Amino acid sequence: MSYAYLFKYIIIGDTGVGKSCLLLQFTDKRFQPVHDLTIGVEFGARMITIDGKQIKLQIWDTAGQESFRSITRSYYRGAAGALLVYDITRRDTFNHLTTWLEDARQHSNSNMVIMLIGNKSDLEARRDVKKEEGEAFAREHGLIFMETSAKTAANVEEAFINTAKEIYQKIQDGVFDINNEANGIKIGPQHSPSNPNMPSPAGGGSQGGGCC
Amino acid sequence: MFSRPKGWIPGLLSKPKNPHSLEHLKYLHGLLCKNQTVTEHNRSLLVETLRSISEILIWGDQNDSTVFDFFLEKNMLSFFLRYLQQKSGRYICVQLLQTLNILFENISNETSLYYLLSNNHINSIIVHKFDFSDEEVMAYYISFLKTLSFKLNRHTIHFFYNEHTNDFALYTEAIKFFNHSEAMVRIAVRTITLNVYKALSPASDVFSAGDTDISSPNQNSTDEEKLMSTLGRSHRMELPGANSEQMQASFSLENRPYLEAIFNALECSENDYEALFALCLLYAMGHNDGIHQDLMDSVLMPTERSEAKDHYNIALVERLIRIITLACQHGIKVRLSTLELSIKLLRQLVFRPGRSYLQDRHLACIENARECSTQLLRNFYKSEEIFLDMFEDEYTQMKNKPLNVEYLTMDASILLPPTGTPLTGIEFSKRLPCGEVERARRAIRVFFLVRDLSLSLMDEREEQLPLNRDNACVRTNDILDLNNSDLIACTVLMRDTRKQDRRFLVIDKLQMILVEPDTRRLGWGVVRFVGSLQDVEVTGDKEDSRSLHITIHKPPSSQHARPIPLLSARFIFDDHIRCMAAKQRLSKGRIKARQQKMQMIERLLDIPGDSSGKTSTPGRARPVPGRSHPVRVHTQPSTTLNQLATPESNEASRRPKSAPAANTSAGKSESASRVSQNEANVEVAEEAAAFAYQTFNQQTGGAVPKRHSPSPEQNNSNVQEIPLEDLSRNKKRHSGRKVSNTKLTGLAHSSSHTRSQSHSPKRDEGLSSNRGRSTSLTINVTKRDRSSTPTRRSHSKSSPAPMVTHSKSRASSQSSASEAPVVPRKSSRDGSSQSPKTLRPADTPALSLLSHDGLLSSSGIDAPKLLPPAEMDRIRSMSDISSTSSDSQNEGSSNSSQNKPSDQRPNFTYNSPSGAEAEVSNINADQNTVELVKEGQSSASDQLTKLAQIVHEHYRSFKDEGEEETNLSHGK
Repeated sequence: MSYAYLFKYIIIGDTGVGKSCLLLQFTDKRFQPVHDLTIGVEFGARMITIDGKQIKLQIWDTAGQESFRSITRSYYRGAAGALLVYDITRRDTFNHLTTWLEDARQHSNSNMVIMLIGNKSDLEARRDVKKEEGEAFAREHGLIFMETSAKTAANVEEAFINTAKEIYQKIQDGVFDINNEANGIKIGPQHSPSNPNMPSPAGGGSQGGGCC
Repeated sequence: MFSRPKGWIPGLLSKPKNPHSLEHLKYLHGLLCKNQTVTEHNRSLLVETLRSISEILIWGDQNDSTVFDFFLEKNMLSFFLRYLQQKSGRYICVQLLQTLNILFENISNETSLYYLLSNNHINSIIVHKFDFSDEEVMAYYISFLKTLSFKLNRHTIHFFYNEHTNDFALYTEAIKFFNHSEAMVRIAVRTITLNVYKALSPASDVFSAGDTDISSPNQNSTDEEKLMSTLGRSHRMELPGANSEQMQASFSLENRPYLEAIFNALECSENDYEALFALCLLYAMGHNDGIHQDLMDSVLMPTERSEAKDHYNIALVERLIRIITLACQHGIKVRLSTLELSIKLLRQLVFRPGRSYLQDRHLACIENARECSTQLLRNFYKSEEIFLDMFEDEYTQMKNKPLNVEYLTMDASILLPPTGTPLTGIEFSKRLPCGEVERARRAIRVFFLVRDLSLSLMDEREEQLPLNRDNACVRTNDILDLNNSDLIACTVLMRDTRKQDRRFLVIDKLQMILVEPDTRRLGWGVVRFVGSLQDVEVTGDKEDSRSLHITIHKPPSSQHARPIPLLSARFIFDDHIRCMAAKQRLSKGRIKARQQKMQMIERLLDIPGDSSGKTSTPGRARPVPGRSHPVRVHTQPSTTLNQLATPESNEASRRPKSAPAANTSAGKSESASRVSQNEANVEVAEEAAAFAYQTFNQQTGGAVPKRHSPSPEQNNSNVQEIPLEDLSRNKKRHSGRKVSNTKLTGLAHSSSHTRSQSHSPKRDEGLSSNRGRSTSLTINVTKRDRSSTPTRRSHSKSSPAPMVTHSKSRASSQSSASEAPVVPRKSSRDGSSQSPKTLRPADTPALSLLSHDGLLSSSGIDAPKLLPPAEMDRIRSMSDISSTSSDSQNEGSSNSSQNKPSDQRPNFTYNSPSGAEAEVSNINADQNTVELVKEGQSSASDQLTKLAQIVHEHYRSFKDEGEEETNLSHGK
């Protein structure tokens, strides 16, 4: 149960692109073909290991509907990572990425790691957005890009973990102020008693070195 | 097994450590996990656990985010929900509600709050069927809702709308308790309602997600504006260019949600509550200068500003017509205001003064509605007095108080559901009728309104309403030519002011008139008082046989107002006979006036005439004379009564002219006359002596007594007097028939004739009616002058004496009766048309005098001579009159057809049966005879005429001197 770090995520994207299914696949390792429309937010959590460190991911799954946009916005703040999801079989969900990105950039801290995810890669036959297009968009906006399938679980783990790695890397780079919970990063509880002065065992040296 | 003690012991141990810590929450979570089912035994434990959880969560919200993270991670909210679903959940539901209440009330972290609100968890708690009979549950539940409502804003409101059930549970569940017995609950419900509205109002876009138009700052957009913004400019370009005819056909309410809502509100089959508002709104739109005409045109709603209304909104017009049609049905809940407003709106849409744009099929609907309204009213029709009063009352109310939409919308009472209770004080037109009388009133009003609409749409003029034709009525201060009127002198003692006036009572067909002689012109009088005959109430005076108590009530301004007496006075006549005569004529006049109006109503309602025929016959026979001779001069040669009456009546007619010379004496004599009849008579006689008249009168009077005894002759004379008028008409109209009829006419004949006439007076007369009327009037005058005294007539009427020829006499009376309705109208019209202010066509005073004199003399002479001379006289007189008025008029009168019986009458009037026959022959001869008659008359009456002229001259010489005095005397 103890973790070195806690990262908070937010999953955003148009309604019906498979946000909740990604979360479910990631947390429960299962797929639910028919999923209720998310009203407001849902919550999921899972422990992963990066670089030998236990890292807890707390994930806010948000409603894609326009009417809940204002609710969603209140979750950007305090998120270290965001999964921006579109549906490769629906171009309009891809077209809306700009809006989502603007929204995210507007309301999140500038260091938030954003992973662009083209979901439903299992539906290759109905593909409407080429992978290259996604890659190009990600490159253009400085995002990490992956195509996933919540159904087959392809790349789902990777998507969350790679995001965590990116965040972890940023922490190692000293970009994040890990003492500010608003950044969506918390240091695990076991650190405070044992090593209160050392923010993190792994990055402690580098960061500490940076500080001192 | 093993875990249990484990769970228990550490829990007990850890608890005291620190109630506010993540560890404690973990411990509590453990408890929940171990007690997932509520039982009698763990009930208190769970209650305590739940209480503690809320406490820790609130603490964590402010101090340690990990606490709530844990709550989230373990999805502890689902425990709550699961407990609730359990049957035994009621054991802890109060605590559960309290916990949630505390959570929502205190959690400040909005992401936490949003989480709690997400995914309809709260909605499912809200709709959960708690046991509301438990006061505690009720209290916590309602305060939970109230707490939630305070969390409402334009963001969170989305959580509360359950798209699956299409329900806004917080609101819909809360308002179920709006009428709860607990005041606190009711207050909470109000608070919740207000909070919901508050959240809704600033963002009306909430439930119209995706509709960006509405969220535009301009919330008062119209259908068209919305359409514009949706379709862009191209649509705008189309609108004006589109053929309006196409528009009319293609107009649809699609894409016009607002208009559609308004139109749909016009449905009145249930009630007209909403319809009235919709009508007000539509009406206001048409009158609002702020609305562009283009916009109104685009929805095909022409306004008063529109030049043409060729293309109106069919959907709207048909809805309006439906309201109108509905309103004409029995027992429909359409208020009068709604009907009137619908009609107003319909006019606005399709009517311009003098032109209706209504399509034929729609017009047919209106006509149908009119027929229905007539049918409806027919069901309420009763030949009772109250119906007439109501009928006229409603008409004046409708005319005097047309619907004012502005005032209507200012009246708060229309906000209430339509009621039928008069006790609410709500105006009749704004509520439903209560009771049979009000239903009748409503039917009357509906009839008027729809009829009015129909007439104006058909571009027809109202010919039959109001029943009172103003132009035919005399008004106060009018100056009337009374030369040939029946006058009864009397003293009027006003009850309230105690004022005493000497007046002459004239009984018109519809009005009771009090006149004062005109000082300037002989035979003319100034109207001092006018009252509607139908409202006259006469009672005799037990103490004094010469007195009558007469009250005339003003038509009530409203149904409930107490009627105000227009006149309440004691009338003192010169003798009891005159008094009786006056009473009789007044009461008969009242009946007649009412009957006449009822017949008009019957005609309006197309009620078959048989009733009128029956009722009229008995009543008519008497009233005819009164009616037919609205203004008669009392100059009868015969009857003792006449002796008394004549002088006075003569006086009255004479005075104006004679005034200058004789005024002084006359004025004095007037006052004196009050003292006693005898004196008055004497005075009158004295006065009269000054004039040539008197002698004649006296003579006639002297002659009369012989006749006075009820003898055939007399009767004839009485009857005749009246018929004379008729005769003139009859002669010319029915000249062909007359001959045969005159002798043959039995009762049946006459009656049948009369009926036909009475029923179709207007129709028959047609174009020639005017002429006929006018002539008849003039003729009447002459006849009266010569032969009949009012008193006599009444007598004769009251007791139709055995006649020489019974059949004839009856026939005549009947005929007169039948004619009566016709005659009065004609005469009145004539009067109005010719000289609006004189009851009779105003011949020049001098002429009338002459004729008068001539008549008097002739009558006097005739009377004694009996039949043959009378005939001659009459004919002559008639011819004279006609000649005085105009020959053409006579012809006209002849055109206006009258019955044979009437022909007979003339004979009677002359008091000589033979004369009557002679007349008949004359009639047959038609104009030739008339001319002959004239000649004969002139010869016969030459002397009289000359005499009269002399008298006239005489008066004139006195005039200048006398005028001042007369004025003075009148001033009194």
